[in-house]
Amino acid sequence: MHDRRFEGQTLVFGNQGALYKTAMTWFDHATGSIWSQPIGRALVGELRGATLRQLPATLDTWSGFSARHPYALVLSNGLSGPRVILATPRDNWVIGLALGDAAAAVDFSHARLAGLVQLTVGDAPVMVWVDEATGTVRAYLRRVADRLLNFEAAGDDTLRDRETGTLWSAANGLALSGPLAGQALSPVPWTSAFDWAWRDFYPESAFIGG
Amino acid sequence: MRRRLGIAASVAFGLTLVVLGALALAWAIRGSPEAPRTTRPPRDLPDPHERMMFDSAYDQRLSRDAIAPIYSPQFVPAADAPLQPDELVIGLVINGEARAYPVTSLNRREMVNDVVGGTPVLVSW
Repeated sequence: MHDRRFEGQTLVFGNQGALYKTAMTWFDHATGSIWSQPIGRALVGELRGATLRQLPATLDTWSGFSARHPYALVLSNGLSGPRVILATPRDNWVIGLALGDAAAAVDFSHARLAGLVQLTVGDAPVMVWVDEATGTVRAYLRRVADRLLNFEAAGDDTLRDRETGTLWSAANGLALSGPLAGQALSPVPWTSAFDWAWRDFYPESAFIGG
Repeated sequence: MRRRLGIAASVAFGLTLVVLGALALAWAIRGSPEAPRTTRPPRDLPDPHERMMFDSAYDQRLSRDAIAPIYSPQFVPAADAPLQPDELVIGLVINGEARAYPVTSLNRREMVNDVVGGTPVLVSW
């Protein structure tokens, strides 16, 4: 998910219908430049080299999301016909994290079994949480008010940090009780990708699990 | 005589098919009114090595917008959404404004141009 603004201009994007390194490409209507989805960057055309800001998003079941956001608006285009219910992500799927110049990929099946994976991407301490039952994914920074935290699962979709003993909600990153109650973990943007595609884009990437 | 009529009918039928085919083709290449028509990448990579690297990784499969992106998204409130509890959605929350994009829709349309909490966003799947 990306911010469509670039240098004060709001771009409108279409589907280029091509693959670059086996991943999706877009074109922008203003210049026709061709963009690569996983890196959010224009490859050729007038805007070559331009990069869009990535936005943190979540992948959730409807029951989980709507419980947390009862006033959400739901996209209604393209909803007729058969539905995707609990789509099991395919083999070789990774949760890709690219922060600054550093990249890391966490194998989805590994993360789902482990529940919680803690890693460092460049200088950034990060955790990836995957709900085993539904396969929903969260990625957060493990730093709150300049304090580095390490987490462990505490049951019922909650996590506890070892440094302060604060109890956190895995679903929305809020501290529920303990010394840091009221604080929130910052979400980190992530991308789901096939491991080979991720390696194509980020040859220096660390790989965890899988 | 009957045979000649038969031949005439076949020719007429054949011509009709050709005309329909041409119309279908014209419709197909006309594309979306919002999209530029060319599918050829703009050749602005003067360095031949860069050009070669790009070309070797680039694979044009379909014409632009053959999978139609959503340019004018429409919404229903969460309370009225015809979704199953187990159905997957991509969630985006910006400046307190929350959106859910059902994976079912994204599988079909792949891209959504939206504005959430004042931020123009591109959702792509």
